[in-house]
Amino acid sequence: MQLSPFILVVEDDHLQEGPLVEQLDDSFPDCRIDIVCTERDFRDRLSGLRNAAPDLVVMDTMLRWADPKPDSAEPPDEVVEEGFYRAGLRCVDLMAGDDKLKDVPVILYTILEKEDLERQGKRLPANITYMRKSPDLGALIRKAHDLTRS
Amino acid sequence: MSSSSLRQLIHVGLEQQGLRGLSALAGVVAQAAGTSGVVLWEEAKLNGSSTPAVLAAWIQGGTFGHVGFTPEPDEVTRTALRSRTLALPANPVTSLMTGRDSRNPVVAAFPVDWLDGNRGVVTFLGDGHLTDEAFDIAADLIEVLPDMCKTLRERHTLALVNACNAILSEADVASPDEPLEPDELRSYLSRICETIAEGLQLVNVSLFLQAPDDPQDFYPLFASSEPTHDGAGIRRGEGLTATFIEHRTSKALPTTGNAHSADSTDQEIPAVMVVSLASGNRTWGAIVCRGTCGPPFRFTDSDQSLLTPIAAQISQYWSNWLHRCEILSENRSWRSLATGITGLNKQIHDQLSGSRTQDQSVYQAAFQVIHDVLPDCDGTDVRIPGNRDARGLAVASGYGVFRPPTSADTIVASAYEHGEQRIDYSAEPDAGAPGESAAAGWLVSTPIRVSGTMHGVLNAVGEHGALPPNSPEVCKIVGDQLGLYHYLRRTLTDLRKTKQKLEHTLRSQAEALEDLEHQLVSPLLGATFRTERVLQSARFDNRTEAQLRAIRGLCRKASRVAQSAGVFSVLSRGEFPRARSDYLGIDDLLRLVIGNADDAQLLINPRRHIRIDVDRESLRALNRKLLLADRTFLEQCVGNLLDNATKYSYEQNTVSVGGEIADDSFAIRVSSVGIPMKPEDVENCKKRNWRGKAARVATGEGSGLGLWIVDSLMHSMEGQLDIDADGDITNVSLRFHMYELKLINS
Repeated sequence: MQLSPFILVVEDDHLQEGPLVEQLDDSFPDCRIDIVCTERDFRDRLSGLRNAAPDLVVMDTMLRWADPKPDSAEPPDEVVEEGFYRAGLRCVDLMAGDDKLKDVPVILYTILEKEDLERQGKRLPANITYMRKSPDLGALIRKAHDLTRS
Repeated sequence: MSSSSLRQLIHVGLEQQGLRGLSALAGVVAQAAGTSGVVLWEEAKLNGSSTPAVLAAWIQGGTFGHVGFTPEPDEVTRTALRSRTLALPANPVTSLMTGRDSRNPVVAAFPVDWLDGNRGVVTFLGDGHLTDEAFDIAADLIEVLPDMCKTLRERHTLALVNACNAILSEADVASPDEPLEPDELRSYLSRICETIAEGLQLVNVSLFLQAPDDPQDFYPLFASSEPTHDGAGIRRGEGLTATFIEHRTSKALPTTGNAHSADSTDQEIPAVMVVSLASGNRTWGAIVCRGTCGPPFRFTDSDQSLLTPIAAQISQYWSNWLHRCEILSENRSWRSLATGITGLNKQIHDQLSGSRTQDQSVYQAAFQVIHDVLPDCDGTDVRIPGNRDARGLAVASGYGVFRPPTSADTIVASAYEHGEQRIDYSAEPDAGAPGESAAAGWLVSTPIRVSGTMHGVLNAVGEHGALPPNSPEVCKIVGDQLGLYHYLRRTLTDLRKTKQKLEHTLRSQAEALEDLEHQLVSPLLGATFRTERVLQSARFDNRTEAQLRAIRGLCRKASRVAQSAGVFSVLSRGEFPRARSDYLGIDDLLRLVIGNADDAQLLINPRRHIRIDVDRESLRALNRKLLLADRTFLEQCVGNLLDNATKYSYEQNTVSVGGEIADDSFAIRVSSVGIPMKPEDVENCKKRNWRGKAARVATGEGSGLGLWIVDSLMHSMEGQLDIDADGDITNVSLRFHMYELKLINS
């Protein structure tokens, strides 16, 4: 196990994010936990992540594109087309297409069923671990330990 | 001696095949009587009158007559013909026939009655006079001569008819399946002409026959006994030949006159004979015989009678041939139509299968079918409703040379207005000046329709000739196919739209359910997480109180989402939720609004720095009056408005909640600064699943149900949802009627 892993939490609901981060903090002392709340924030941070790749990404699936701001640029066509329901999958795809990020383990932490994520024959990449959101965060922490250990 | 001559006469007679056999019989008689020649005369009937004509002649060591030769009887022959008794010349040397040389003067003339009822004379030629023995022999032979001549003529007639019949049978055998090509048929009929010419000793025999494609007043030369004969044809109204054809009569015409232009008289020697060719009520043309090169050197009624059965044979064959050609043409047309329709249907299928239909391709395929099946069609077009002409029809596509008659617009418009096919074939072809439109020979205007729905008109024109057979039916079939195409195209377009709409609805429903699950599960998870933390801490302090407040807010949020799901379910069934009647005063209202504002504040991510401010004073303006509302519904409405306001607000802004009095109504107003709403979208946002583009692309979340539910709940409470947008400021109000407390008590 790394002594101070870098964990990236991608979660737009602060009510869920708080307890999750607290739990991770407790389980991974001295770890670095960064929080990303929107898909656009994730995209903006991609180049930085290439230079300092996280040891683990905990990724929500339904993410808002961005917080409202005056004069915001329009999102890419695929975002307009697919909506926020698959935002986490798009973020995972962006990582899979990046040589420096494609092997980073990702826990897809979502309320959606796995079948919903693998529609139209699409399979989740090998570095993706699916976990359904649950009040019991213990399972998530154990999986996080497993993935950061390897 | 006499019986020997008789046997000789019979023997020679039975050997003969043609009319020249009569001359052979004359030769037997002449030789038996020891004379140098015999001429057989017949008072032949022609066109109703009688005139002496040479039936046959035999001259020892020479020929009798030539083309254009018109023998006249001598005085002795005339006497015998007139007196019906034996006539002898007073001076044999001086009784000579016109055109005869003086070496063969007439020696005797015997009257004879031919078996066809005509009277005649047998004229003996020689240097001296007949001996008694010769006289007896001549008398005996002349007694049987009419029978022999009749037999020979009948055999000749039968042989000629059989010969012609054999030729036509040969033609039939040569074409068992399909009719002969015109050139092949011409060859066979030319052989018939040659047979007739040879049998009747004629210079030329021609057949003038009219086909359906020929002008009605013209009978072109079809076949002739002379290969080089280049007669153009016979035109109705021009000459006697045309008159005889028209009246379906047979007649011989004078030598000296012009058969095509002059009248004939019975006194002139006929050298042209016309025999009408007809069957049923149709006149096909005529057999025209010209020039005699043997006895009788003119045409007689018997010649006409001889040709009558042959004419009947030819007429029947021609009629059958035309009928077979017509059937063949029709079969080819229908086969071509079937093939064309198959191709057209494939084109329609291809077009309808594609994402974008090309009407032009279908129209051109339809035009091709018509032009293939109707070779006489010069142009086609399709006109569809448009604004390019006064009739409201515009040319969508065209093919070939389309020069419609001047009346075309009226005809086409009539076909479109009445939905019935219109045909115009009375217009005469009009060449017109180059570049100018000309009148068409025919026009078929066919509606393109299905089940009473008009899609346009299909037009076909021919500049020349008559309306082609079956052209209206062909156009109708193609028009129906085009109507079907338009119907299918429209139906498929509707189906695709419906499918898209259905897919959109299903997707929206799926998204709404996912969103609902998200909204429901998220606060419950959050509440559970926090409860766990409280339990883990095992102490009650300020942090614990904050956690419990958060848990309460999250549970309320979950409860509201669950209620929204219930309302959504009711509205999806097409029903309105039933509101309870609660009277709410200032305190109720303040508690409800502040409670909702606290909950909403808890749900806002603190990083966004958005604050919810409740203007209590403006709410207190309700004073002692009351609002009639369903408390639960009102909580739901206020919560949804605050959700929306915080979701779409810019960071570091305040969402204001306050009250507003206007006349006898009171409104709870939520104001925010955030993503702008276009004025035209103010009403749209009350619709189910509607989301403004800016809101949709900016945050992505939401299902477009919130305001639809609020609007429905306000309706059920007899309240009103008002939305006012001005740039990035949005005011949303829940307006209710105010009630006086004392009125309620009373």
